[in-house]
Amino acid sequence: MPQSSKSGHPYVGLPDRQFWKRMGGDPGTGLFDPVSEVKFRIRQDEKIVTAGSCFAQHVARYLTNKGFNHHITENAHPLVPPRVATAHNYGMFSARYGNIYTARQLVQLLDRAYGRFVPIEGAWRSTDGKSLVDPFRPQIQPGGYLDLNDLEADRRQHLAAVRQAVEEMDVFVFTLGLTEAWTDKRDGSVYPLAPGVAGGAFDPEKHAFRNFDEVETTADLTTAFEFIREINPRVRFIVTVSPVPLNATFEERNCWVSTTYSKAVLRIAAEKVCNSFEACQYFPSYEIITSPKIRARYYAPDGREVLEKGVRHVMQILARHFFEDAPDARGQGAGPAAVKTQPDAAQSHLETMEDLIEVLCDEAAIDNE
Amino acid sequence: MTSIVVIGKSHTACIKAAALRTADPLVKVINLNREDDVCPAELAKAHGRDRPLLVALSFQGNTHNILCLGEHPQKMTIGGVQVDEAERTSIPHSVFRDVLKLIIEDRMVEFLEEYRTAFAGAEIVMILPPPPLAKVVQHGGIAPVLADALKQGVMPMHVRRTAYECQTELYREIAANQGIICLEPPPQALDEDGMLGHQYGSNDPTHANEVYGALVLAQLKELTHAAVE
Repeated sequence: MPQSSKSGHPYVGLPDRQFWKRMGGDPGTGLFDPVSEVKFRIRQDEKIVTAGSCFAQHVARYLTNKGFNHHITENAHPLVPPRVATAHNYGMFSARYGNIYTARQLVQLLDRAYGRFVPIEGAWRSTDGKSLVDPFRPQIQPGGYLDLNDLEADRRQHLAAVRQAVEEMDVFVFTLGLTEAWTDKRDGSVYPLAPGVAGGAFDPEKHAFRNFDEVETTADLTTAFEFIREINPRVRFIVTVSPVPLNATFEERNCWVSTTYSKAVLRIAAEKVCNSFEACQYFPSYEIITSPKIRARYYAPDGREVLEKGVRHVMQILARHFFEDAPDARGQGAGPAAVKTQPDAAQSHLETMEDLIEVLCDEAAIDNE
Repeated sequence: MTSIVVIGKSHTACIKAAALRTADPLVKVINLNREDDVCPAELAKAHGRDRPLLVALSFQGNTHNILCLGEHPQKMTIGGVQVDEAERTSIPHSVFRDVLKLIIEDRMVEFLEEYRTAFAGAEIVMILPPPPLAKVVQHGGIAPVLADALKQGVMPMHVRRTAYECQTELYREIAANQGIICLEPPPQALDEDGMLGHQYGSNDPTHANEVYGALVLAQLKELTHAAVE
């Protein structure tokens, strides 16, 4: 603590970052960097698992593209070309859980993965009625699932991949996104999207709206992190809050007013949890994007979507403070890493089959003629 | 005068063999595996004023076999169906379908448009490939060239059938979008599971034999008669 008694008041001698006019980040002065000391650093080979809201997708993509060890445990079968795998959301996050908007959803995913909770609702009919969707990741499978076998087999693989991610990760980056959610009154299940939006049917008898407050969100995040630490004591946490405003609110008020409430709740929960866990660090991506210093330059014209330059800024700051030997502390890193789908042996198998069947075509022609 | 022209790749071989046996002057089969870069316009030009009534196309019929005849190093199933005791990765049905679409769709649509333009006025037909054999005998009965590639085993019938069904479903959709006829495999050549009856196969598990080719030829002739009537 700085000495204040001799200099007149307690702020004398405090670091520049604690003063608005000296904290930097004004236009033309370089990247706004609101990060203070961090509790740990990350080696380049350490496995990073990501989860959270829409903004977490940006973080995950950046880590993958810049050659960090974004630990993907749910890869497409090697027969699936990268283009198709990407279109089906493999590699978006460490496993195909889709967006996890609320802390309650994170607890639920862990409980489901470890067999502590089996929701009543197992499948929803897609909105076009042609296929089934997973109520807990309703947009993960473009085209939906053909039937229950298809869905349940994929879910088993998915939950196994979640367990693998939890057990193998060194760092877990979780981005809190929302406090509003739809739940199932029968068993307390929480859905990422309201029933009826991307599958299922809304039923007021079964479904209820919840807006989690800071006490509930803190408790849920604590439960999730304690559970993860029980399984994997070495894991370190980075918690962020998504700067993306709510797309819609069910509260009877303006969407922006609901946004500020939600973000305040999430910010408090993040702070409390990071203060109560060792090796748990809050990272101010929300503050970077929303700072008045930035003057909303990182938002798309709709005022909601975060532009790539904003993501780049956030990730450069993250890399600067957390990564040892970061390949891209200045944004000049390795090229994009392809979605991992084609190990050599698998590719070689397909090529061999193609060649041989072509050879056979000719052999067959000779035989038949 | 030629009334039927069959153009395509390996799956035309069985039709050609059948056509040669009957020496039917109204049928011509062109196996493009045996030609050097013949484009549709040249093929059409070669017919001069002798315009066929029906042009039947058979392309890319073996994609399902390339993907799903031999066991993959990482064993798999499609759509989650448990086919045996082995640990298999389930490829969701719609993922597998999109794999096929990526491999097949654009090229197939391009082929169809080229042939439709080159053979304007003729009925264009897409011949569906024959389904896989229910049982592929690995030891002794299989073409030696393929035996080595199947050393990890043959995929279970259910997976091979699902792959085939995905492919033919995609072909039907393409054909419907293009407004052309899709010729189903002759029903009498299928067994109770919808697989190729063993008497229509050979030691090459990826192609049908001449007897099957004769059945397809009969279907095409029937279509031609219907078109004339």
